[in-house]
Amino acid sequence: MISKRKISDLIIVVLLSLLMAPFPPRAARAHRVSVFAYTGEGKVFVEGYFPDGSKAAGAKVEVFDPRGQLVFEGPTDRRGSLSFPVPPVDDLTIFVTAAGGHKSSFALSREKPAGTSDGFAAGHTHDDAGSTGQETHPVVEGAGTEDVRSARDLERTLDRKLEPVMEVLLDIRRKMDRPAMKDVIAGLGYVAGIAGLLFFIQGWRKKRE
Amino acid sequence: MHVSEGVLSPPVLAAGAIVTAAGVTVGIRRMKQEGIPKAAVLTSSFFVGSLIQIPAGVASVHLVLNGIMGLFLGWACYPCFLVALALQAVLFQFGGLTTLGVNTFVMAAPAIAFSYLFRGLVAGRGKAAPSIGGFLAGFSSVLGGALLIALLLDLSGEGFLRAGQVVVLAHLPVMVIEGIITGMIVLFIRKVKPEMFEVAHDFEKENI
Repeated sequence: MISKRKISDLIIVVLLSLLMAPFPPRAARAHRVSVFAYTGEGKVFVEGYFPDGSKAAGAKVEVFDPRGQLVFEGPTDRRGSLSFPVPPVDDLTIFVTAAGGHKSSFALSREKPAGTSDGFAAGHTHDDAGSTGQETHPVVEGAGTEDVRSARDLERTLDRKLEPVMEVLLDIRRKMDRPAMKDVIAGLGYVAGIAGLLFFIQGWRKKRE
Repeated sequence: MHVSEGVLSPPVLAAGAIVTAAGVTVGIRRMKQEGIPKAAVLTSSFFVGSLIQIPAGVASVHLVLNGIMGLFLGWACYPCFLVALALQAVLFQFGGLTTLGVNTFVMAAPAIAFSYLFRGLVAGRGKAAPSIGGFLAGFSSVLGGALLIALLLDLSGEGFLRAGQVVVLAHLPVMVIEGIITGMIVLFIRKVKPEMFEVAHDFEKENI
């Protein structure tokens, strides 16, 4: 009798784990402190926030280059944001750790718009290297100093113009990070389903006994 | 109250998973067929309860409801927490799949301990004893969870003890709110359906 009970308990545990199996691990990679980062005026702007829209103040920000070397470290301010000069590397991974073991990351790339774990894109301009004294992107072949300067001015102006757009993007992203009603209903459905499954197994067990 | 991935050290994660596996096994063994609807309803409440966010300065906190889970379910709260936390991890990205064991333990261990500690008060006569028992169970279960998180963060050796203290401070309003909610629910259920408590057999002794 005991062994049968053990077997059915084992089946319950296995079924529960199987229920969880189809979900890709990436879905749970980030906790709900969320990070958003973008560049402008030679700086990387990072913002950490919680699902209810409140800012992650005093959170630890760590920035790593593609080789895993720490290139910048610092805390967020009262508004949950932090900015630092763009480091002379192409790709950055930004980790934000908030109090209580909440951690999340954001990938920022020079070549292509940055992608996050959700595939969200953030704009990235290439004047950053210039501002850190490492010009790696020639503007136009054979261009004079005047052209380079006007190109930089243009990009700076663009950055300023794009700032409100980035704010709007950040706002949209904050809204996207809030749990959606469909997820809540899906969760309740799962709970009901698991309860039904337990009923089925226990009924089956009683019948056998 | 959800520790996310990549914060705790692998030994802490492994220990959490082992303890939770044991707790879930005991919980499933103790769960009777007639207790399944109750468990499902409470699991759903816990799952949704975490969406009720309470702004508390530097950390984002939400209702935990683990005190209620402990009082109503006893050991059966282990599998319920596991299911609810797994769904929260997958659907809301709260916590994570590798931290599932640790997070379940952090919720369930104080909930069970304090349900045993305050079951006498909850089963007591009159109105005062059950509401005080409920308040204490609700309050201490959240406090216990926050202290466990602080301890686990510190054990992971990232100098997190201070951050852990922040967790406890940030959860102070939640503790009070949960205490009040738990006290009220205990009082209400004592009136309308006292057999719903896992500690119901204590009531029988008291001839209520």
